[in-house]
Amino acid sequence: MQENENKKDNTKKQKNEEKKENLYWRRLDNSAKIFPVSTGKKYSTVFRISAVLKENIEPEILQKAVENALNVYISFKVRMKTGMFWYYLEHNPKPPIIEKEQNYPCKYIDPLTNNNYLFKVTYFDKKINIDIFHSLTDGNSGATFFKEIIYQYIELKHKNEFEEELRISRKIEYNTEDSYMKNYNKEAKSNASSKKAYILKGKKIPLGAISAVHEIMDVEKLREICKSKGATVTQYLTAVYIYCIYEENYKQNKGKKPVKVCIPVNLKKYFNSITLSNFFSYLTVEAELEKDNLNTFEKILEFVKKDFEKKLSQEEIIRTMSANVKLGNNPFIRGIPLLIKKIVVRLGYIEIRKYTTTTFSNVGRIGIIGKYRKYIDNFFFLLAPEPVEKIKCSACSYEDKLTFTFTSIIDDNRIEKKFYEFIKQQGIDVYIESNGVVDSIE
Amino acid sequence: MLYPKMINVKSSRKVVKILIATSVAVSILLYIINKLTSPNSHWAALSIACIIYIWVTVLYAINKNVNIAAHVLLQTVAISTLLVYIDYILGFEKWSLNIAIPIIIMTANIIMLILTIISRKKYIRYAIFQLILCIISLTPVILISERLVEDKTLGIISVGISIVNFVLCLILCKDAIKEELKRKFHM
Repeated sequence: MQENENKKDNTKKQKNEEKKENLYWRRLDNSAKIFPVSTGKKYSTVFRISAVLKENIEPEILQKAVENALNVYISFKVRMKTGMFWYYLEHNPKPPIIEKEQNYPCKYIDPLTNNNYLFKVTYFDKKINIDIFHSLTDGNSGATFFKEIIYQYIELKHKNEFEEELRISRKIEYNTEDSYMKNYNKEAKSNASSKKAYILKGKKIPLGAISAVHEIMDVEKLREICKSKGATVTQYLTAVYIYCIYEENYKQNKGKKPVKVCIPVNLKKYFNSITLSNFFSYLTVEAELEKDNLNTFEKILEFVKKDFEKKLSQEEIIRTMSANVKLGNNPFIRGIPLLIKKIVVRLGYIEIRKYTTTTFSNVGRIGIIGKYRKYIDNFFFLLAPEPVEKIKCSACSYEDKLTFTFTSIIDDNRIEKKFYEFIKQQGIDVYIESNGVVDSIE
Repeated sequence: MLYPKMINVKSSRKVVKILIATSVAVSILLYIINKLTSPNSHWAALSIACIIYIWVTVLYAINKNVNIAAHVLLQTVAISTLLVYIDYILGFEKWSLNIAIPIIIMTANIIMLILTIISRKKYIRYAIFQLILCIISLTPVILISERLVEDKTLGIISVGISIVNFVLCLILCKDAIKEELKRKFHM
């Protein structure tokens, strides 16, 4: 009798849970709104995080690990739907599809191939990848979710060692609030530059291929050098990157316009936000290489340091963020039907994209709980290149390694090669891994 | 090794593209034959309309994430359009408006009603299609008021059935409809 009642209670609970899930939906955050409107096969706005483990990946365990991770981070278990004025996210009742890696990184995620999820998990050999559409989240929260997948995978793979972890779930605190709306300043004025940027020149790789080159370096030695130059790691790498662009692309093509590097800034730490939605802004380093005679690395580094100092203040960041929020919040824009918004934004974006040469995103250190570290070799972070921003760069560090990654659609690797040679000249141990789309560098 | 050696860029829609190109070629060929052999009869137009209908149905069907209510709605619109066109090409005796459209509307409404009753918990997924169908179901009212139909009986019955369907859905799934409208029209 008691057993029957318990069963009934459980079924009732399950039904209520199902009903609650069916009713779950949320608006896109202020940043996320723009991505589905402007995205297509050429502009995927997808980023990838990869983890290289020390043993081959078992797909069945990976499938289970992703499903478990989705139960922990339920806000990722969503699909995108079309509304009259905006897209929105709602609960996705289907399981995600895990596949062997067979396409280039950061490609457009076709919802049909993935049960409508906004991320795609693939594996190859010892590597697990997650490609995430930017509307779902930013690099920081993407890494948090990906780490959960890796933890779950390792726990399931080594059950004996992780008995306790399998029993008790990790304490996680998060929400999905739109932190932009909470923190923006209505009075702030836009600080956007009106100058068009130098566009990287070069023949495109055919058949929609994307080259990925990882330059893996000793993080301690890199920090030492940065310290001696009075720069942060991001400032130093930005300067090296601009210098390589100058030497290998700008000079030959007699560039006149400024090289503008867009650098995303994680706002969560500035505003103590625990949202899993997007909450980032950016600063744009605008180097007038020709006009200001920035023709040596030292001059470029000094310029980058000063520009960072000027643009990385909380006030400047709030200004950049607020200008974007105000635009998305404009009652006139909100009231335009989605179909028209899409046409207008796509046309507008053809022009907007000309204001950036490239993007460099540094997600920083990927911290892993001690017990799990011995199973992981390295992490990579990759951004999708676009027809205008033909090369994008990203960096992340794990343990004693920092991986600087170039993703490119240009059919030569002169910038990547120069970067490698420069880092090596500084006495930093560096080696290359790549997907072999363009010729080998080493 | 970090990446697969041979990256196989899948072109899953390649077959579909080839078949569409073949259909276009067949349509052009039919049109030419029609013009050369019997220019006063428009049988090629009917064939081309059927080819278009088939493709609308196939392309929608291979999209495996489309829900069943969306299929019902699409078929209602597609079949009605095809039949009106066939009627028009065959001399516009208005059988499509008098008989076909009311019957299609009745069938669609009954299917939606059954869907509502048997899967009330999932109703939120059908709500927007149900509402659009209810609006489309008012077509016979327009046809009657514009005196485009001679026999009003089937038209009136179909509108009656769609009103019953709408009212029942409102009674059974009021919250789901409200929720879905909130989602779709949020600003």
